[in-house]
Amino acid sequence: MNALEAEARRRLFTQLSLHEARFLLVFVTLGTRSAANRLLAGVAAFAAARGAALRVDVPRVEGVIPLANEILEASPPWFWWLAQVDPRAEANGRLLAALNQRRDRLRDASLRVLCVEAAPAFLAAVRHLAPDLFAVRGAAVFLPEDSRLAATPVPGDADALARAPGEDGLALGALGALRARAEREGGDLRRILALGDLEQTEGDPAARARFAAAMAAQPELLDGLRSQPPLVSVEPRHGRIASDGPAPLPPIHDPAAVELLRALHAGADHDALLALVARLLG
Amino acid sequence: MSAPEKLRKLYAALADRELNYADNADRSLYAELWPPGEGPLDRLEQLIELGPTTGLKLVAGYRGTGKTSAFSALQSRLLERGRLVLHVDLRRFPILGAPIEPEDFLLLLLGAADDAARRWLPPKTAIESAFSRLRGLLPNAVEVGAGASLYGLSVALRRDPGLTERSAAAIRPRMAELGEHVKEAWAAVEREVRAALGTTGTVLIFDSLEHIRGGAMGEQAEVIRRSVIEFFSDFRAWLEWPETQVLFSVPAYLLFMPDDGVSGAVVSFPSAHVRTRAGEPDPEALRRMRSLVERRGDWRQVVDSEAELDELILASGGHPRQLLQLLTEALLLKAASPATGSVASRAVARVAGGLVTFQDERALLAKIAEAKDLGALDSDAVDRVMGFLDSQLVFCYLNGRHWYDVNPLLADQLPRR
Repeated sequence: MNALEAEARRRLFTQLSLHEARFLLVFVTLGTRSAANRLLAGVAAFAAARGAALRVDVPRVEGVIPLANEILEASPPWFWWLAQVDPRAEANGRLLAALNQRRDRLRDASLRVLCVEAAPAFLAAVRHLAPDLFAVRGAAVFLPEDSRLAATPVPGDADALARAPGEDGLALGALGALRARAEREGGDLRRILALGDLEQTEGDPAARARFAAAMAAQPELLDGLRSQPPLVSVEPRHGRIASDGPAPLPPIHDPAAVELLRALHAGADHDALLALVARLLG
Repeated sequence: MSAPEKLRKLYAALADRELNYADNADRSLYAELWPPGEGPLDRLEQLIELGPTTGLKLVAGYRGTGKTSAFSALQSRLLERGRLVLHVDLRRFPILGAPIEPEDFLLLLLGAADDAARRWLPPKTAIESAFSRLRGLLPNAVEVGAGASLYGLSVALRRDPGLTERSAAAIRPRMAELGEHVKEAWAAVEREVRAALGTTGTVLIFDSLEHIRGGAMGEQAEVIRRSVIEFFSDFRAWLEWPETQVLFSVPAYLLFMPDDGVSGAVVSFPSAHVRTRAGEPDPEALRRMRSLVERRGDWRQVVDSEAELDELILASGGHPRQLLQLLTEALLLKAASPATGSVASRAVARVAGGLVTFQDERALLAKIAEAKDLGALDSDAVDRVMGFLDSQLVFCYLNGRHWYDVNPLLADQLPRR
């Protein structure tokens, strides 16, 4: 544990010890699985010392409403930890939106602490999905990000956290941003991958050069994509890409997009990916 | 009191919550952020006191600027002068995330108002005649027992889309009748309450309609927005209820969309302009914000000097909720490492770190920061700007006229000019 992580932990546990009652929503932005597990263990010990139950859940999109009801109906005091194994954070987003609708039931005189693992970009999405919860949030705790570990692939199994915490990287901000953008733009990969005003200048060599520079300045965007389970999956027979989740993105038919995604998940190097992106946009 | 106990007390006092002005402890925390007579609360009070006894007033609400606490203050002040103020928090009703259907929304408002009024009446006070006419408008499929309340009926309508559809279809051809029946029904309730309490007038506050978007995004958010604009453009006469001043807290876009024919948004709850439009600190606003902090507790437990406190206040952009958040963050840093020196800058950096923006949002934010106005933006940016106002990325100010600025905590994220 380095000094930054130690300070963030101190800050969180100071708040927990001062926060005797009421609802507290804590966003925990973690770079590594090990940091998550250390913090989770600390929260578990803290809850146990106060006779409160700690429950860890890995929300799935299809189970969001039952889980929201469980959270709302649980007897306080409770500590609840929502892990974010789904790199798109869709389930956590929907869960917070469901809790946002019923937020009055969260605000009472009993201690309820909801810790949500959140990539930085997820915080931006929460502003839209759960604007009222965003307003009552208690803290955003940022633990240091370890880029070496972040590049490690994450197991696709959503139960991985509960079953066997390891040293795998967690979802990073890039994917949350991509997902949010994908939803906003209707799943068009050109737009998903475009940065800033690029989509307005498609085909322009100067624009492509700017895109390459932007991607070079944000290597985590592609690194994040490579390090995660597929955001989208390829159906080879139809040359079609569809979401692997229960709420699919619109299908993408562009062969260049298919090729790019295949390359992403095959671990193609940075230059090769940029060339494919340029082709897609060109 | 030991130092940790003092800190715990201050932490609790910095909690962001709605203040109940009728409670003495809460009342002591209430701070006016505007000079006497200039703030939104004073303005509302003047309009109610000096205006006609009937009418609709729209109040543009922004999250976290103290609107609901101000409504509580208004309730107490007017009650002292013999006026009954009924407060209906629309967040308690199933309205979030769905567009307004005028027929059942009006029934819901009446049901909610009736529910609020009956808390002041002896149980089982019968006000049946007007309501029975209303029930006569509903289709046969809607079964309403003799003892059923209109409130229960309206909530049931909202929760059952099929029922809503059937009742809306039945009512739609008779909308004018519905509007009249609603007014009659309310008049009966209002008379009963006034007679029971001996009050001289009634003010009805429908609070928090600005939350109607819920978590809806994109097209659905736009549908909701259009439905709100249409309701207040086309059906506002339905909300002019007899012998009652109706205050409606509404989304801020009703303020700056004159082309849609919405008028009468007479009061807004802006942030305190701790800086002038030119960017200079405003000493008077700073003094008032300091007073807000002092009412919460001894800020010297957290920051060492008034200059540091001002750093937090300026970083808050004059938004009370954000100021409380910054102070809490500073307190936590101080408590976690008591030996550390100044915590103000670190607290500002930490809270700023939680405000994440997408790249395409930053371009629009930069335009607002530059223009300090929304008039320069394209009309298709309205939805996103509303999202910014909703989530504290952009603040509204008022000195003479409204102006807007980007949350100061985002300064480092915006392109340098």
